[in-house]
Amino acid sequence: MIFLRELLRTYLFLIPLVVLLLSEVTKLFVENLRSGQWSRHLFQQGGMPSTHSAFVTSLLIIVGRKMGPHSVEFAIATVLACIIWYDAIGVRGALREQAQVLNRMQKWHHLSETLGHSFMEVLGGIIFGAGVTVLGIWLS
Amino acid sequence: MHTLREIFTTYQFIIPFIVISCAEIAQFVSDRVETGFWHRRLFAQGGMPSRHSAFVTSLVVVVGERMGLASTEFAIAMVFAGIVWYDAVVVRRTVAKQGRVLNTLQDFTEFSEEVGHSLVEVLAGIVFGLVLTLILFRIF
Repeated sequence: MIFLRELLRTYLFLIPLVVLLLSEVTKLFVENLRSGQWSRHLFQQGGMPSTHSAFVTSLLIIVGRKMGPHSVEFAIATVLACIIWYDAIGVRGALREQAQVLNRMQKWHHLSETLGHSFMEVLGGIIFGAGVTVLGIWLS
Repeated sequence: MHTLREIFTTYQFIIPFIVISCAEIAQFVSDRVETGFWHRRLFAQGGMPSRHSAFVTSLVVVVGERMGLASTEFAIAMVFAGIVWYDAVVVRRTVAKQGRVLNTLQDFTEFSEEVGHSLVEVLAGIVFGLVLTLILFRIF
């Protein structure tokens, strides 16, 4: 446990990866409980909370905490995070809508309709990522 | 040779660009080996190894080498790379799948079915970028 704490404190890049895995597990449980059937598997696209959003939010908090909100690094992380949040709803959402239409038009190839996120799912991802990261920093 | 070394150590963003150029050449060669023809066009989508992956992996190595694995800069580069790797396999490949369905549905427009990458192509891109960047560091 102490070894793990040292590892996370030294190698900051491991923290977003831990948050990523935790949000993936959370998503698995949330989505399976919501649908009632345990058909979802790990690393499937879409769902609550957004893994991408939790991932970049965690990075944003670490960079803000370590380098300060006035740093260049924080500016880079903020721009990256904003693009990821926006694209989760915009770009990947557009792909889902197109997949839904294409599935209605033909029956040969079934396209996945679970990709992309709603605004609430991205917000959930941001809150989840921020919460877990702050909790992790506070605990160590 | 000396000025070249100076350029490389001063302007580090050039290294990922050299790697992506080499990955483009490697795609030509791998396509020739696979199909037996030299019919691949420059900057065509898809292929082995993934250029996007080689590009961002090279950045990760450069940042890791210059700033250290414990730096916030490395964390930012790692998160950025993680998202690009994931999106190459999942998001961009969805575009290819939709293109394939659209091509079977209509004949007016030919959509590209080569967008995105398989997991193996992304892994090859990561190894390619990693090895080539390390070699470039040893030479210069």
